[in-house]
Amino acid sequence: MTTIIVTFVILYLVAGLCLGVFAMKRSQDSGEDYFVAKRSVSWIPLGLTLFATWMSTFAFIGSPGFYYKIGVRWFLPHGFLVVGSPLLLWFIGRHIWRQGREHGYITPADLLADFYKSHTVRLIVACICILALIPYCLIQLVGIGKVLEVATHGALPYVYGVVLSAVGIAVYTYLGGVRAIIWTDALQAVVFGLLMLVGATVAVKAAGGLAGGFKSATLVRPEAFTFAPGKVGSPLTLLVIWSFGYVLLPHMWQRAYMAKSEESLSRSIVLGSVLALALICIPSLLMGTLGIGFMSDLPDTDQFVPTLYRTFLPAALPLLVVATFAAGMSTVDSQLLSAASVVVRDIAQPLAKQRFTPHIERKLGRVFMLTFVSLLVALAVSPDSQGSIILLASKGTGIALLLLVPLCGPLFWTRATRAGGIASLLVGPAALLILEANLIKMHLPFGVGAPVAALVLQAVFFVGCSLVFRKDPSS
Amino acid sequence: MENLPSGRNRALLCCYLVISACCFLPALGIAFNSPELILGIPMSVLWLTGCFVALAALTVAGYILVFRHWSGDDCSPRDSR
Repeated sequence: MTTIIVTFVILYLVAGLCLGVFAMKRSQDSGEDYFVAKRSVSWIPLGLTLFATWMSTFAFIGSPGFYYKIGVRWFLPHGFLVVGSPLLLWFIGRHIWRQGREHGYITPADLLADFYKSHTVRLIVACICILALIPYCLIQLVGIGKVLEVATHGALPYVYGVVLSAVGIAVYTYLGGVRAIIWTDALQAVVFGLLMLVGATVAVKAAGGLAGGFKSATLVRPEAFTFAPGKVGSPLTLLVIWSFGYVLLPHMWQRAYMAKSEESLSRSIVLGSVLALALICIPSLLMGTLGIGFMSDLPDTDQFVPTLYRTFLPAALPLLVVATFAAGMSTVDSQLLSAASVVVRDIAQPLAKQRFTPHIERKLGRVFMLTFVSLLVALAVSPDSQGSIILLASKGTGIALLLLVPLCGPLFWTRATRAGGIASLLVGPAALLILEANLIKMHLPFGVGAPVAALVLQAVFFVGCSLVFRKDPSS
Repeated sequence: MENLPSGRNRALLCCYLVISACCFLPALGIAFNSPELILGIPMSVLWLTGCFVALAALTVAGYILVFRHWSGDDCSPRDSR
């Protein structure tokens, strides 16, 4: 079985490499083409790439495991992530698209720095973007490593999966840029959809049917199907993070820039949303919650999906491993490219005090990507990074949430000033760091988490400083 | 704040907020916060599934009724400058 699994993985990686080479031949040597495909992506590939980006190891491995762990309490934020956040992408993404097209923006910092007329804003936003992407990239490699290890009964240790996927990602992203990603995402979207449906079917059969399965699960752990009274803070925090923070992750923001037109963006969001509900949310809910009834306590709930397949459908293990590679790689490649664009345009270019040629942009982007992948591998193999996928990912999305308040300026509030923008961008990260690291011990109201508290504090400073320092208009 | 959405956009936003509020009924302990089986499915799961299916349907309806006709109207303050 290990040989079959390795063969499938190699075939998949070769297919990805071929697509990368093909995309390289079709691309142009410019940052706009390499990072946002010259804003020419129509609605079907855009919708599929949105769906594939949603369908990371977070969705494929982490979510079913988290449903298994905490039941319906994950359904609230997860449902909003897959169904609610597309609507937010509409309300917010449309304006981002329009301004991106009008002003030639490529990164989130381009938009915010231009509105607030501030290099300080650019630098802070760039740092937030990179920090937000690290945990989310990390969980992809972590997820792949865990699945490969469980699927092969330890024959291929965790590190092998991490390194193999990192090499695959680095190669096809290096070659083809975002065009390679869009095409591989389209392929991967098909693979994920099938495997999620298969996984849900396996879980329903293993549970003895839907009704019987839920009856067993509610008898085994009834508390997994209720919300704890008075403890709405935790699901609320996850909901805010995953509804708002997720669409502000740089690679999602840049997908708004990529659309050929508003019509493409609109249609792609409908496509992505419907696919995500039908192929991510409902199947992972079924897998995880029914699993409560027939699978005994697992020490690491991220092992739930590979254990499900290994126990009840071992013949599909090779496909599962390939799908996990696909899920992880299709997400981290986007994030890698996004991080490269941020570093080149928002950090390197301002520091060099000159505008890079498209050729230099692309070269620097590639160098950064290889360095970043190496860093991710180093982090992924450290024991501290091998925790729960969902909780790790939430760290990154919580950081991206820090962009929401300053974004309200260019989108909705003309009275926002540079002082308000900078204040919110300094206060937010500082508050998040202080609260997450417990540097100041405090009990937050309603038990909300640090990201929500930091968001509220940001808003207060944003509005306050904008109103006080009115003579420093942003544009 | 300037530039609140108008007309059909407001209606869409209201529907989104109402359905979103309904999603919170179990979490706040107001209703449907129970493992009791209805049609073989736990009540909380059934209610939330219904809410999210409604949100997805709203996304589709929103596209047909509102977003298809967007281009050029209802800009952000900066878009219109």
